Amino acid sequence: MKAEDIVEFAVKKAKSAGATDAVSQVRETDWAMIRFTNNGVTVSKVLKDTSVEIFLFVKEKRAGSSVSNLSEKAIEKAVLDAAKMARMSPAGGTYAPLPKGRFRYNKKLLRIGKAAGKIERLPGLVKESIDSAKATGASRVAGSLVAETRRVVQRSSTGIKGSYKTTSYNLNVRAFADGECTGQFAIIANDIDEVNGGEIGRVAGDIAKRALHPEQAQPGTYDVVLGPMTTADIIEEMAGASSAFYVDAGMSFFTDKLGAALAPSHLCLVDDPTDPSNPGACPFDDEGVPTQANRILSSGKLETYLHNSTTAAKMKTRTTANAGLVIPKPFSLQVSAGTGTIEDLVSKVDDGLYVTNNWYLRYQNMRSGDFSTILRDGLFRVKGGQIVGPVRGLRLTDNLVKMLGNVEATSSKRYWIKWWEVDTPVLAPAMLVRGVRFTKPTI
Amino acid sequence: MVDIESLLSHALEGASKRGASYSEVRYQADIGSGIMLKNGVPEVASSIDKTGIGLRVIVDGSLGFGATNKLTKAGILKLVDDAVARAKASSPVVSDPIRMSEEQLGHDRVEVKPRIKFDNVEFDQVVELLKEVDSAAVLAAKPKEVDLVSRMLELTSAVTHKHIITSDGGDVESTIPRNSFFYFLVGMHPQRGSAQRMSERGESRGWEAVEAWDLVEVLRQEGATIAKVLVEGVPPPKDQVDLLAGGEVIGLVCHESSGHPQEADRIMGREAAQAGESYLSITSLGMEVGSQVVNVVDDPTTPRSFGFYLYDEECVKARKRYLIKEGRINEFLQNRETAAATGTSSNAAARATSYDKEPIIRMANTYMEPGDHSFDELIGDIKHGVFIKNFTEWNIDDRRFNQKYVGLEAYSIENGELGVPVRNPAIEMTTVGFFKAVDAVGDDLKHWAATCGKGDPMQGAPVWTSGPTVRLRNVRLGGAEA
Repeated sequence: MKAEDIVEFAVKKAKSAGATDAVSQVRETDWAMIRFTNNGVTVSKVLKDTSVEIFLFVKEKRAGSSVSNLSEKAIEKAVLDAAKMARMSPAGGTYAPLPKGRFRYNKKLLRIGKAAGKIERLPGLVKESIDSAKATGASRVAGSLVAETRRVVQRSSTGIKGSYKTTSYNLNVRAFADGECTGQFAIIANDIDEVNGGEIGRVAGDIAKRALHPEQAQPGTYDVVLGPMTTADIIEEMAGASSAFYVDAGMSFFTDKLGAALAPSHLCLVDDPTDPSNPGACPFDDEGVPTQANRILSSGKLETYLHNSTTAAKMKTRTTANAGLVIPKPFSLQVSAGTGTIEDLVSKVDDGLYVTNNWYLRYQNMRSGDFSTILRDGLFRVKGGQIVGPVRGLRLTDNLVKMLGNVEATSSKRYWIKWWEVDTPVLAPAMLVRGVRFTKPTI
Repeated sequence: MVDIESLLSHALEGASKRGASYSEVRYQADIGSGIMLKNGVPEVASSIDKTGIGLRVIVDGSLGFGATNKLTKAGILKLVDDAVARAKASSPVVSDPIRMSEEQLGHDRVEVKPRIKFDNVEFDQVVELLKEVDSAAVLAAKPKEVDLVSRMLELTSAVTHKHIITSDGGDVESTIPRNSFFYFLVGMHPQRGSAQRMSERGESRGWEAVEAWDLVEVLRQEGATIAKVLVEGVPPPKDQVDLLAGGEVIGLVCHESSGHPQEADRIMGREAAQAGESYLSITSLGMEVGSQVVNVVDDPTTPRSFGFYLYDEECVKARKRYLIKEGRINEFLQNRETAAATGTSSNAAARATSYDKEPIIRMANTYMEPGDHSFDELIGDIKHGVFIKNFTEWNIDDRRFNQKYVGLEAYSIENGELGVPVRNPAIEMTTVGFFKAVDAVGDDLKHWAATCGKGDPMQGAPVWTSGPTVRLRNVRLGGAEA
């Protein structure tokens, strides 16, 4: 069956199985990845895959099925399984019917990115990034390059009907000047011509080279400049915490903070999937509602949570078109730009650190925002407004709400970041944050 | 009806004809269901059927992996074309040609038969159990005026069926049921703030596992513990202490600080741009990293374990692996690729979590081997210390050397007796610093389940992280601050 036939079939079967509402989505994925290590390719991967999602309501009871077997019989079974689970569930919480269509979708968002004939360029792009990082000072280079084209076809029992196709390219490069002196940078774009392998390799290689001969850092409280990679990770956490699902569950440090001034007035955080040049852009969410730009933080205030129809009904507001059928999600995040360069931000730090990357962010308490994350790759000591040398061995141990309040400035230059630690594309600047706490091992 | 065996044969033949020197094809079907309860209310029930074929080929020394769920002869031949073409296209950028070690490959069928099939358990029975579990936690926290404001419970069950054949003679079919229970709780007290706890149970057998877990009692204890820690907890001591680390903490330490850094692919740099490398090198065998009482094992063959398997994704027969023996690095986790590159044999560590993921080196069930000390003997010899029974937060650097575990249920120890609850004690130590401080190992080995993340794209593998209670001498709880 074609994707359009599959979703029609699934919705029809769901209705005849007793569903009050039903929505079905087919995702056709054409994906290629090259992974490289020690200056050479380790594996080349391809995936051609079609998956079918069915989500249905029996009044307020909800159930979903996911199936990769595309036969009529398998899809029908998936629908019947979901209908049975929904019927047998005890009454849940709030019921909000699926939005009624048809909607008019932005035609510019129906075909995002450029795909044709680009896959042959991937090995060359990988070689370019390796050569560039080595030329800058790296002895070893690792990373990954992904090209992904995804077609989404969606129907609902409430008249939703739509499809779109997106293509994106994601390059991640880590350069090793020696085992512990490393630099990393990553970028995502909808056009392969915007992925400059040489430039990404150069940035990673430059950080690695400058990270050579580090001293052990001392724990304490410092003013800190976070590079775009770390800004992206922290901002993605904040956007996740703005999902109304987590707020409602009591799992968010933004619970009970709607409307509060949490950051300085210069700081904005927007989820904007409506510009076709933004990685992550799409015309509609998983309920078929046309996407919109949502200001999560507006002039420092927490302006909205991210909603689907169910969370919106529960909080007596309107959907922000961020479905996730269960968990509302951001698509394409942007942090407001400032006026200076990273060097300008560093010049405002008397006694602090410049952090280029981090990983393994975990919460001691998601409700309060207490967390820690390991700093990795180039970490630099800043004194008197200048970088004085590399250091290592620290863990950032602080509170995300507190850090948000202490953001003093952002850089003018921003990068679209996505990599292993950052799932949602983030247009991230560097960020100056005052009074951040760092710890290190005791033995 | 699709003839899977015939598709698998077509894939191997097609790869060989197109110049592959090695190929391996895996049919994998993961079929399961789950339910989530959020703050006592059923949020959503779901089912999944993820079925397809994954193929690895080596062409001109270049490794290609492809996957599809188009289970027709045409779909499979297209997959072979694509995987071979992509491997060939990358071969000029390969620096070290890939090859597979020669192994005695399995020709076998493995089936774990559940005593109670998931399909035979009524759905409303599952929901009722979760509601009872939820209620037990809430009620247990109430007497101390602690409100469990956030409760997320998830119960999932799945059966994984695989059939793998390799171009050099491997042919293994397996069927393994798995179930898991994950819980996340946040307790709040009006004056004492909030505390968070999450943990997981998981086994490779039928519904009888869920019955044996006694989840109502587990969550009743968790609710009571969160309340007690919140209301009565005192700050951890800042001076030097002896530390009793509970089995749950030790299991995670062994996983993060022994299992991960001893994965040969990490050591050789294959995960360098994502999960990172290792503080060890391939020549570190024999290196002293802990005291003589530290023995760390990874064993996929443990019956009913969450990470159970008898053959890996390359058809190599699984066995128990001593990662650290008497405090020294004893062996690394190897697949056929790293074994060939380092002149050794695979110890069957290649795992893939679904048909569309390549097999990579993974742990299975990692634990510190129990010693002969009872809990009373361990604590009886401590004058001033802390017992950290379980944890709430952890992380570790990408060389697996700088680690942190924040305790949730913890108590002071004075003159051999448990004292008052201690709130948020942080073990922030180096890997070697931790293992070398161990002076005695308990006899009370227990198991916890986890979903281990690694690979790009990310693969979440079911594992056990297990341990007995362990004593460490003369440590500081942190982390260290200026």
